[in-house]
Amino acid sequence: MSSEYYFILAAALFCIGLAVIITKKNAVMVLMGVELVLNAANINFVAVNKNNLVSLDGQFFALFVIVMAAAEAAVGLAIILKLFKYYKTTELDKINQLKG
Amino acid sequence: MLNNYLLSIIIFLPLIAALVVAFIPGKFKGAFKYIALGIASLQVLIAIVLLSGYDASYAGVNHLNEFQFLENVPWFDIHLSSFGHISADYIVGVDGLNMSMVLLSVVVMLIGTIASWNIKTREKGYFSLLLLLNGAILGCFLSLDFLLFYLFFEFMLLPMYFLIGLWGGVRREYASIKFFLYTLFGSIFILIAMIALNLSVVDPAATAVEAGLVQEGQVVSNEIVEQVQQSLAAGQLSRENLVHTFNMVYMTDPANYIPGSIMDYKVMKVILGQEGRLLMFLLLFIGFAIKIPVVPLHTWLPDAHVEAPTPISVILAGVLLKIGGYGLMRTAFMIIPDGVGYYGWMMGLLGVISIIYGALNALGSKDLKKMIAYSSVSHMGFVLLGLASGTTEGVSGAVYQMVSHGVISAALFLIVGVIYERGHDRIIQNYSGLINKMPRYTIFTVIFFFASLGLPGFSGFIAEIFVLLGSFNSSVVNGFLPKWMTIIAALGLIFSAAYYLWTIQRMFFGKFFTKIEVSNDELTDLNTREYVMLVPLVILALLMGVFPSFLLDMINNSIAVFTDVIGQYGDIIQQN
Amino acid sequence: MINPADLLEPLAWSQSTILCLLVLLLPLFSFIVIAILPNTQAKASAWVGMFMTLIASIISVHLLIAGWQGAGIHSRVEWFSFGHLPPFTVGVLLNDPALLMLVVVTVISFLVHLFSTAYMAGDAGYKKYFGFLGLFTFSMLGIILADNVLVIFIFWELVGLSSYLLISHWNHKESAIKAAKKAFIVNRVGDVGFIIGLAILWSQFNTLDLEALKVLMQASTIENGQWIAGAHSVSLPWLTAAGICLFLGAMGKSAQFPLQVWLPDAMEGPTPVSALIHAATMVAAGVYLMARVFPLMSIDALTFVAIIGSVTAFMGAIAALAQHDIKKVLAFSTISQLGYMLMGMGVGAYDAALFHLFTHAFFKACLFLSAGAIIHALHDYAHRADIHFDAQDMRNMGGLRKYLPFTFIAYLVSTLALIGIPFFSGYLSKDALLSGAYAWADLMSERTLSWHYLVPDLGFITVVLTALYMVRQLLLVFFGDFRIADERSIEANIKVKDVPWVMKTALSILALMSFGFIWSLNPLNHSLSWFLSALKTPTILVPGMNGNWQNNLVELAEHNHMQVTVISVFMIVIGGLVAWFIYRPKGKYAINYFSRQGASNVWQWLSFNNWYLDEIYNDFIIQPIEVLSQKLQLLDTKVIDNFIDKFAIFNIILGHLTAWVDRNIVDGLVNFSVYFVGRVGLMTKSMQGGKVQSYIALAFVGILIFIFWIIW
Repeated sequence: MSSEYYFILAAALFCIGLAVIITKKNAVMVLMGVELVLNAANINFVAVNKNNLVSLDGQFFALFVIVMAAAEAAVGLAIILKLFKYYKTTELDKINQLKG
Repeated sequence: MLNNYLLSIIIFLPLIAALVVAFIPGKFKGAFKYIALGIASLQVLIAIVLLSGYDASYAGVNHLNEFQFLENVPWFDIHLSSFGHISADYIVGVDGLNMSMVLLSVVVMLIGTIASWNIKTREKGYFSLLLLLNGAILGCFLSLDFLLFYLFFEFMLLPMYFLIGLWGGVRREYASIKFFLYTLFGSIFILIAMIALNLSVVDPAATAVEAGLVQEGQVVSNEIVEQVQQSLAAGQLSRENLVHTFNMVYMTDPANYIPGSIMDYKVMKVILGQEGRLLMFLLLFIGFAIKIPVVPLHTWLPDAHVEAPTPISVILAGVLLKIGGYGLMRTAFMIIPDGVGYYGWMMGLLGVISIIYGALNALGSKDLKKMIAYSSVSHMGFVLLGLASGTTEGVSGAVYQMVSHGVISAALFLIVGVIYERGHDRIIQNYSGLINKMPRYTIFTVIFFFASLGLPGFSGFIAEIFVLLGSFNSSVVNGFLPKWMTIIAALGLIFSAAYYLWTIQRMFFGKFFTKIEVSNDELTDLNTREYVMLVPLVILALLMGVFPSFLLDMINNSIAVFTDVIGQYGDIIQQN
Repeated sequence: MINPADLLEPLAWSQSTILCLLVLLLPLFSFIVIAILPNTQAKASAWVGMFMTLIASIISVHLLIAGWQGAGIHSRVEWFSFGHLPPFTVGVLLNDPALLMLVVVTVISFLVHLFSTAYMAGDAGYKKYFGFLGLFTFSMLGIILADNVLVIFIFWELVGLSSYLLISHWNHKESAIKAAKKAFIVNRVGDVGFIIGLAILWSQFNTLDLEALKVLMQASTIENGQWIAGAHSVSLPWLTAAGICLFLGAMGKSAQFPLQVWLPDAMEGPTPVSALIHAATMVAAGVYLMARVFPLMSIDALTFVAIIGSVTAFMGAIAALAQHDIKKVLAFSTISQLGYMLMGMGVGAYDAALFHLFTHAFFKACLFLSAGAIIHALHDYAHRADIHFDAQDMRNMGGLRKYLPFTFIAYLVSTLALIGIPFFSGYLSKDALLSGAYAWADLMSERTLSWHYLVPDLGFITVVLTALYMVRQLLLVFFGDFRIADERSIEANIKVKDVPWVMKTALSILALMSFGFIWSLNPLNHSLSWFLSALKTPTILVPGMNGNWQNNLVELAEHNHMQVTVISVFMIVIGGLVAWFIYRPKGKYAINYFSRQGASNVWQWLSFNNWYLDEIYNDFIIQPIEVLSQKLQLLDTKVIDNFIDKFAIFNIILGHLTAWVDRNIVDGLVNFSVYFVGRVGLMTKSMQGGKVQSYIALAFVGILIFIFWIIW
């Protein structure tokens, strides 16, 4: 089976993740979108390394990403909690102090 | 030792004093006039030392080594690769042309300082500006470097502008701005001519050093100078080695001109349909004619005089106008003598017009000060007529007229000041019969009026009669001026008698009357300070009228060289 | 070729030179001393003045006796020099005419000083008056002694000044000040001519020394219509012009037509001044000048002088006819007599002209001082009788010979001298003049009928007129009744008092000099007078001159002398008789004279107003110049200044214009770029909405673009 399908899957997953990041109002949902994007990358890593039997760089990287994603989710959720405490909301549209 | 720097001292002493005055706190305001008086008296003393050391047998004029008390220090020398060098020097020196002017200006400045005794507002500014003016005037008369001359010439405007504009009469702003702009307008023409001259003239001595003909620091002999001039004429010198100079004495020597330059005397370059040298003569003439002033460029003068405070009028009429005549002689006439023959006719005509026009205007003036201002225009017309004649007696008469007018007009403005201070009014018709209240004042007025209308025994007569004889003689000697000009100019003598005597009749004789109520204790006769100013001027005018040889001996050799130079070119023009 | 510098060597001083200088400087010294004297010492000033002039006159008489008909004195020193021109010299040139003038001026000046002590007594300006008399005497002596035309001109102007100061002596009187001003300005008109004359001589010869001029003039030549002197040459008319121009100066000072208008007005001055300055000395300076420069005058120039002289003599005599002011009559008479003198100069009768100058100086001074005595006596009378009238108006006089017998005699003697009755001085000199004029006309016209005869003819008519107006004056002043007293019916006990003895002394000396025997042993024949036989007419040195011209003149004059005498005596008799007939006491004219106003017909008005010259000058010269001067003032302030101001305003407008351009175009570009950037900023601002997601989206798009850019 050609790697092409994995890439298509990964691309679809990336697009879904991106769409979630851009469209969802809730910060938690955005964080979930980020997970989807990361996993799309993981699929790519693994798919690229599928035919290489000598090294397992892709797989390792995927694992590394998963660990990083877990850490990132923890930090992200902590930030969201702090944001909620400060703004009483997790709606990203309302937290717009960066607006020029 | 000190003797070698006398001229620098006489120029910079008042300038330094001006700075000192500017830094003294205002609470010592009583001291300023004493400082100014001290400086002016010191200058008179220095001038006497100068006079005693002055040797009239040296002509100067177009020989740098014949100038006396000469100080020659390089100022700057900029190397502009292919253009060559531009250099200016600090050169001051006296010869027959400016010695009399220096004497005149120190005397008039002293009188002007005494006349300033009653200045009661902003003394600090006034006296520092006065000292500044003093230094600039002397610098102007003494510098032999065109750039230096121009610097002082321009620098004079600044104190004058403020002195009229701040301490003047009702329309002082108008008058001061008019004065400033008029003169500045003229300066531009002088500036153009100066640049043209600088582009065309080289300093042969410095060029010799640059060209490697002599070692730096060595004395440049006359042979080397001639050698440089010959190779300059032959075009053998590389442009890079030419040292362009502002030295006015070098400018008088045709051999120092770069062949093919704007001012080259051999191959005349045509600019704006006029030969380059002649055009530059015209520019210089216009520049200085404004200062003299020559009709129709004179209208700044009546306004400036009427609005200026008395001491400033005295200095303006006594010295500043002479810078016009002197500048004309030193620059236009001596550097471009070929222009005299060419424009002599025009200058003579303008002189005659000034004489008649000024006199008629004086006749029509209602303000006493304005009348005297116009009489200045008329009398300075004689200067121009005498210079334009190019004859020995005419030019001598013109120089004599400058000195004489300096003394007499200074006194006349003092006289106006006296009545204005007491009566607060200068309109002639508003007074009558002043002789009854102020007999001594009337005596002095009559003396100076007669001196000014050219009564023999006073300096003005000698000056005017020889200007007339000289201008008449011009048609025979060099053909510059036609005879009828003299005849018309002589008519000016009638008009000057008319306006002075008419004024005496209206103001001083008859029954006593003033239009503006003046109390008796205000209309007092002359006080001691006024005597101190007027008596020396009477004596000077009389001495110069009876013993003309004092002044003439001083200037004779220089004037002879001056007229010779003009005459040579006159002959050339007549031949063409 | 003669080098002028060689002719100008300094000449040694002799004892006589020093005496001359003493004579010259004593009056100046008097002026200075009086100027320094405190105002309280007014009396002393008169003594100082009198003393100085007395010494000066004694020295001059001594000089005259010692130097008469001698070689003359010429001393000279260098005054100043110009460049390389010949030096300018100044010195004393004393010859016979100068010696005589010296005596005349000092003596008359002394007598006038003497007379004035009484006449001016109590005047507020007493001290000033004597000071100025000293100044005048000094200047006049300067004219006489100077050896250089320019120096003559210098003193010439100075006498003008002293005349100005003395005429305006009563400076509270408007008329006096105006008269003084007029005198000075009219003289200046002549002086301008004088200056041109000097300029012509100077440009030809480069010197103005009289002796040097004579030598150089003789050496100059005429070629092809050019007058050549050394290296200098001008066209020939300038030779005549030089003479005419010098004469213009004389015309001013000697009140010749058309410049005679100042002299009648000058009578506003004190009467002794009129006697000294405006009758005897200063006005004669013009004649003296002509005598000094006589050798330099061409025939054409002399002819011009003769014509002007005779016309003036006639016009002056006519104008004297209808005057009412006693001094005005004398003033016009002076003009007329000066015309005679200059006519004499013009016709080449140099000696006769000078002779008339001297005789006239004495009898006219005597007339003026007598008039002064009359005025003084009438003032005194008016003061005592407490009535106000014009003491100079002849209408207020009459019959004065009874009250002022001494004055009457002096007046009579000098009048007879003026008319030219035989045995009186005027007869001698006037005869000499007229025969000279007649001879000249004969010579110039070559005995054909020509206009030249008008010159002596006008002279003869003037003789009639002179007799007419002088006899008229004599009759109106001294004969008949004392009109003012009759009209005002003054109490009989107040009478006109005789004048003080000082006045009489002065009058008697002057009257004595009016007798013919003083001047000639044979008072009937002028050619036998010691004066004329001693004076030698100098040769005219102008180039192109016929050498026999002057000799012929002398011969002709001697030849016709008898005829001239007869004619002129006949003329006098006619004039005198006519005058007696019209103006006799109890005659119609005399009876109505007190109430006479001005004149009664056109001719009398013409005479009364001096040919309307004043009006003509006022309308055609003075007014236009005044208007012109005011117009020029307007030109200056309204046109030239306006132009300057407009130019300034134009510059300001230009400034505003460039400021607008600067603001709107140059600045506009800058502003536009700022605006543009701002707009762009505004447009892009919305991208930074503060929405994290849109940032991400944009970042993603950006990365996409970047990737695509790299790939392609």
